[in-house]
Amino acid sequence: MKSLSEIIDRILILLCVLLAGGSLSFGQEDISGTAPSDSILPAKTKLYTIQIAASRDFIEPRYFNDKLGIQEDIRYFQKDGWFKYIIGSYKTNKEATAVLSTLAFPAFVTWYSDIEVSPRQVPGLADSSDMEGDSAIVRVDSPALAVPDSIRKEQYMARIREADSAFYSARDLVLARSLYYEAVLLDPVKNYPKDQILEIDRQISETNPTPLIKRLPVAIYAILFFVVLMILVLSFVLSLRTRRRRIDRKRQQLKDEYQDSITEFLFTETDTVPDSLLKQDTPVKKQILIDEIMQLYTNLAGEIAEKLRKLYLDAGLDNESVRKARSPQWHIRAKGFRELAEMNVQTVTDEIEKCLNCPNEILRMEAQLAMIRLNTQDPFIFLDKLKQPFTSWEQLHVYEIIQRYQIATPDFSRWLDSPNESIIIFSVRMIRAFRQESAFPKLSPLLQHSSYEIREETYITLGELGNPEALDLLKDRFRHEGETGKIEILKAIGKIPDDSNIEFLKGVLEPRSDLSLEAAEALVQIDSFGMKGIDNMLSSSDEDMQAIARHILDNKIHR
Amino acid sequence: MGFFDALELLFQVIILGTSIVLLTSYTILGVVSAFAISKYLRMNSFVDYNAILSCPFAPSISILAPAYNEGANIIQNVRALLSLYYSDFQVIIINDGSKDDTLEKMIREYELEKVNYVFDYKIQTKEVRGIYKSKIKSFSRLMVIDKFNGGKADSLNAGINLASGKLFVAIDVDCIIESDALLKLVKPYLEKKDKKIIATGGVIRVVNDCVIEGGQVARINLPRKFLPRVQVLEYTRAFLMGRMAWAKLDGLLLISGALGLFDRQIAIASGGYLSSTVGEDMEIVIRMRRYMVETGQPYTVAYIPDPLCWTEVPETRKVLGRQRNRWTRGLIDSLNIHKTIFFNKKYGSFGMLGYPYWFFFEWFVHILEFTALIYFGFVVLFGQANWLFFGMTFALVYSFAVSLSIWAILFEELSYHKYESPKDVLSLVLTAFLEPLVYHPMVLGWAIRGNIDYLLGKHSWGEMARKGFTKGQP
Repeated sequence: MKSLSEIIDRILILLCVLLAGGSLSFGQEDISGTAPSDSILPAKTKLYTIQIAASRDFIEPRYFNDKLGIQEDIRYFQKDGWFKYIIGSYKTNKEATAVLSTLAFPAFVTWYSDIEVSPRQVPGLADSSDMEGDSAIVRVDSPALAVPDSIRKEQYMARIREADSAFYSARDLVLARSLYYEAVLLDPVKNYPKDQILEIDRQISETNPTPLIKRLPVAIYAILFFVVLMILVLSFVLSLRTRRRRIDRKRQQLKDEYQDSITEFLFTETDTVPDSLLKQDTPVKKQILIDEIMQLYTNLAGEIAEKLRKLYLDAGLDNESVRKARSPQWHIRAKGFRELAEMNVQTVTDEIEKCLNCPNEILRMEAQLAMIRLNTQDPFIFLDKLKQPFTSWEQLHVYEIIQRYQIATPDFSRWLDSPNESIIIFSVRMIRAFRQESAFPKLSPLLQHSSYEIREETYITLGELGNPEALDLLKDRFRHEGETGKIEILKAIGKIPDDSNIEFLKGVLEPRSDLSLEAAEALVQIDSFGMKGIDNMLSSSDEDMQAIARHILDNKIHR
Repeated sequence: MGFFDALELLFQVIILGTSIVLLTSYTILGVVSAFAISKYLRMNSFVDYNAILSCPFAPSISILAPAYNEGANIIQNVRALLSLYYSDFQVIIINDGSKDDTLEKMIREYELEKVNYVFDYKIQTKEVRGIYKSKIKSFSRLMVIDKFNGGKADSLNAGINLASGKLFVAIDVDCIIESDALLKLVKPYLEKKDKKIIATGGVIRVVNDCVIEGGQVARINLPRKFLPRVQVLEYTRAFLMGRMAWAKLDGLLLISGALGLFDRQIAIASGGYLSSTVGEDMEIVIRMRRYMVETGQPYTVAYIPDPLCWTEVPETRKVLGRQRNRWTRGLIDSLNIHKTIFFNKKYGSFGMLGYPYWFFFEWFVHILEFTALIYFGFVVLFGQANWLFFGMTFALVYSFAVSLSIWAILFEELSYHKYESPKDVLSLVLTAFLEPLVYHPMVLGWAIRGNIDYLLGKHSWGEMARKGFTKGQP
């Protein structure tokens, strides 16, 4: 089961991801500019219609009913300074065209896809802004051709009566609004219809208010978001501190209790584990106890260590470690492996073996180290099976385990021909560390290896092993290497002082190069060259040689 | 639309676009860092660094510390360096022609004597006057180079020439290095599989007002003054959020000059530090990266989100201004010298992401912001300002900036929680609210000044006055 802090960590990371996504969201629509009546509108559709007339000033549509002999209702819309009058509403162009062909007066088919505001006023047509197609239709662009004022006044009064009826009796606010609007168009001077429109808008807002959420700009939401985020994070930080202090105090208290109990148990005659250590009811308590036991166990030996192990087993803590070793979470599994290896519990070696090649480097390393501890017959068999790179980090832990627990070292030359180059490197290093001189015959072929790293380790190892048979091999390799490789070879040769090296090293010493100093260091190790050779260098006319000689002679440098 | 209208619209689009991309990139970097640090902390719980101490094949390290007029603290600094936990390392102090008693103090304290060392000028430097070693065996790791003054880059190159380690650490001698810093820095080298690690960096913390005992930080205090305290926030954001993410994306261009571990061979092959720039720490990382790409060697630059080094930050506007001026000039230098990398696919994420990011959001953004401020001044002057829009935008960016800082405080809390007192956390939070209003305009001003000085050909470091570590409120 996850600890509380792990759960909080995960929530926090999820929060970070969500907040990152949230902060990228700018996707709210700007709806601050829509009219109140939009909120009760149906969805958009594309409809065809027939335009019959156009005028600059508004004309009561019934005028065209009379003038053109049309029975059906005429609707209108405004575009580019014109009022345009239309009849019919058809789903297809074909339908509209069929009707058009039956008309006795000029007209043309057009379409609209905007929301229908009212039965009478249509917001705008798609393509009727140019008048080329409808030059034959009725166009009233001169006030002189418009309806006379007296008739206009009658039309105005009729419109007001209809609007009042729609507003007060029928309570059809949409129809009433469009009728009042027509009244305004017929007589723009009058205030009554304008006031009525405002009142209708107010009433519509009250019944269908635009939500506040649609009115505030995006930036405000973002600001609120960040402010809330700040408050949440701060609260979390402060509560985390309090919680952490409380947990640390509790842990320390438990640790102290367990330490006292364990010490008392270890240094009494009895083998019976006290109840205070037997019964741990929570995973946290079990873990603290395991940690205490393990810390002591690594520093103890003999009977006391065995007694401590007995405590671990009798308290059922091995079951806890096994449970961890079988966990799907890698960090818990790794901990389980470590505990079982430390306490020498063989129960789940099969689980451990499965992880020897797993991609998770920590889990893999813990499995390797656990196998070395638990597999007493062939602790290093994992090197036969390892396919993943065996990094220096893993290698040094293996070396450290070998040293700490005095594990019997195999003949590491066994892996000098491994297909895994990192295992070869490890083996060469171990041959050097444990001075396995018998490995020399198998080391020599590595001088020809394609990997420079392997060759470099081999040079160093041959130098450390000090086998004079290596000298000719090293000198042969010299001319094939770059500067770095040459320096390693010279260092190795310097560790195997022999008269046969003198001529070779003199050849490197002069003329002066980046290798001269290394060659001189190697030469001075050879007794027969020794001080006489240095004196010759000092008396040389070559200033560089003199400088090198003084360097070699200066004991303070090599202190 | 007229030409000037179009130009104005374009300018507005650039500003808006840059702002959106900048805020988005900060958010992305923050998220990437969160995951990277969480993973690092989990994996680190299994690490036993002490195993490196007994490892016979751990790489040798040379610590290079240039010293110029460091007489006040040199003895304790050297002692602290010699006490670092590592098996095979040497300490090389490079006395860069100090005018005070830096060298004399070291000679006296460590019983140094001149040795006949053959000094190889692999990388050209100012002439070396002498090399010193201690008569005392327990100081056998210590070497001192005395040379003619040539600047920090030149001193580091001299140190590289003398160093015998496979790796070298470049440090500021007046920084306090955590005792296990070398162990942590070297770990990526030991973990490497198929890619060569050419450089590693870590987190640099602010040491102002901390209590120092025996060359180590004994008690961590938040700086009392505003300027160093706001730099705590800055460093936390930069190191825990920015660099961690860039390392994960393999686009890290900068290892702090205060502490960085480098592959010595690669540094030499790249030509060493460039003496002609004041941003040598950034320039060498870029150059080493380029070298690896151009020679076809797989590599990476590693980063440890562990506090490894403590440094004293400037406490006065004058000194801080000089520092930021120098950083700006160094940045421009590095970007200019390596402009071939810009959006160059050959250099991978370093060329396609890292370099462009630094170009646009660490250099260009200051110029854009300054220009935008001037533009806004004219807008106000001509009565064209939409104050509602301005107010909302300002509030949006301000709240984002503050929440980013608080996020950084949370990262610090979840990772290393070095500031234990709740009062310190609240103080940092308050600083976060003040930073955009008080500190940021100063930073902008220094950056613009740095640009101007660069154009005028100014190359100096400027005097960095330090007060030393001895005092601190326990």
